[in-house]
Amino acid sequence: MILGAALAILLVVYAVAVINAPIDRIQGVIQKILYVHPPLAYGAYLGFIVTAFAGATYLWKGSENADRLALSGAEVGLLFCTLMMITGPIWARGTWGQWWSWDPRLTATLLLWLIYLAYLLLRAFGEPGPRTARLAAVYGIVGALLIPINYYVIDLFGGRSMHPENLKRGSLGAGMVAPFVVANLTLGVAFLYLLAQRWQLEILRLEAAREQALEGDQT
Amino acid sequence: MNGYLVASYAVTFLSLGGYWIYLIRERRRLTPGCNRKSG
Repeated sequence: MILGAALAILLVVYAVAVINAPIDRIQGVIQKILYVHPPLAYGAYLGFIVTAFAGATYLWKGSENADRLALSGAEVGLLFCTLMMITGPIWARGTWGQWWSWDPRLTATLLLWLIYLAYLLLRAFGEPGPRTARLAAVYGIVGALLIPINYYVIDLFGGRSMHPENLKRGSLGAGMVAPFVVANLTLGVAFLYLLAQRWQLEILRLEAAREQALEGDQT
Repeated sequence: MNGYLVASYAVTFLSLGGYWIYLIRERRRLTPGCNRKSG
């Protein structure tokens, strides 16, 4: 409830911030995709990190709620990752006339996307129960190892990448830092809100399944 | 206004909004007796 109210306020602030953000001298107004594309990437990373930690908690304590949080993190993370992979090529097409290239960052991100798509397919089609949950937990932990590789891959390739380098202090032009911070805060809260909603749904599904199993035993 | 810019924001927020609506509808389906104001 509080998260929802905070998000509603932030969305208004976000819209005002983006509209009033200065226009880049080189790229023009299309550069304002900056206020949606990187925040989506951070949301994707966060989702997959949640999956890894929740999966580890499940392996350690056997908590079904933790297992459900792992699944929720992967789904919301994959949504953010998908949107990042849509907005990125749109930005590339508008700026450089090219939707895609097999450069290190784009290729690593596609790999990350495929890994978490596979995680969700495993959860959807694996036999329900602790065996699949354990396998998914290990898979989610290993998959998260790709996150720092994805983030630093441009540096690993000596900056030879179509994708711009990671933002550093001073990277952004005058007047762009505040809207960028607001954008990250807004989409970060949106991520947490959707994650919480998804997790609650998963817990409801778990309870419904338990009730059904109980009714099945009684009949 | 740049079409690519509009497309990026539209896809993002329509998708996130659509996902949110899906989650609310699924929760309501699983809790038919729930108070909709607090749902």
